[in-house]
Amino acid sequence: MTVVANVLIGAGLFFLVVSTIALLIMPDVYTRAHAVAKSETLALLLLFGGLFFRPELTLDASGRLALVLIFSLIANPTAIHALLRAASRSGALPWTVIDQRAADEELGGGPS
Amino acid sequence: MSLFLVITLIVVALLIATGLYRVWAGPTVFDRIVAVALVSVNGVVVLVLLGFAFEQPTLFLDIALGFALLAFLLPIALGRYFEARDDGTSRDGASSPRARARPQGVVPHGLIAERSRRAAGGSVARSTRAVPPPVPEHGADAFPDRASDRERLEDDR
Repeated sequence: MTVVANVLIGAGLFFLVVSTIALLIMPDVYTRAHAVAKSETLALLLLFGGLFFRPELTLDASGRLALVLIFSLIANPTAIHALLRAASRSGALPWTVIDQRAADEELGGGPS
Repeated sequence: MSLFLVITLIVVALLIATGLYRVWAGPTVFDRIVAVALVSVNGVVVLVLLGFAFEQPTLFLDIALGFALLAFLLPIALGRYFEARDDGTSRDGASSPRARARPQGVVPHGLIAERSRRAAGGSVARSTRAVPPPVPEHGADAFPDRASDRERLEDDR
């Protein structure tokens, strides 16, 4: 059982590392939040799921661990979504390669 | 106290320290809040792992649950606080002395704003280049990379 737990915890740790690295090297707020919202949530699922197999777990603790797990799974992407909606309304630009000609055509005029 | 849990704890603590770099460096305020969200999620993980490492999981899981509740509220509240309203101000900008000294009637700029203005039938300049560089409004501090975006726009020409 401990081996199963350690494998799951190790996998969760891997995804935590991945999301932190992505937070450092991604180019704009949307990609960074993508890393935090999705990769972190998967990491939490794996890590807390692995903790269920640890021998230290008691009956009380298992209920609370389930509470923390379910709440984190719901709350983490929701909070990031609300934050990103605020960023989008405030005019944060997504990282993109700007094609000026395509932008002009979409706006209905030739290049000035 | 198992060695594996202790090593995991140390790694997650290092991840917190690494995530704090983005809080310090992040160009916009929303980058900082995203980084704070990651740091607080890692904090919940640290608390849970501490409980298992000390073999008192019940106590530490209560603390972790409370911390998770607070960490859920933080990005939502800060996002609402820093969100720009239609006139270009935000709750933080409107209350600062600099915002009170700023001229009123800021015109939103950019591709999306221009498209919606065209849809409304307003008179619009042909491209973003013809428009004089927009007055730095609320976003002046929050989005310093807008200037570099404008330069890239001109370079692609």
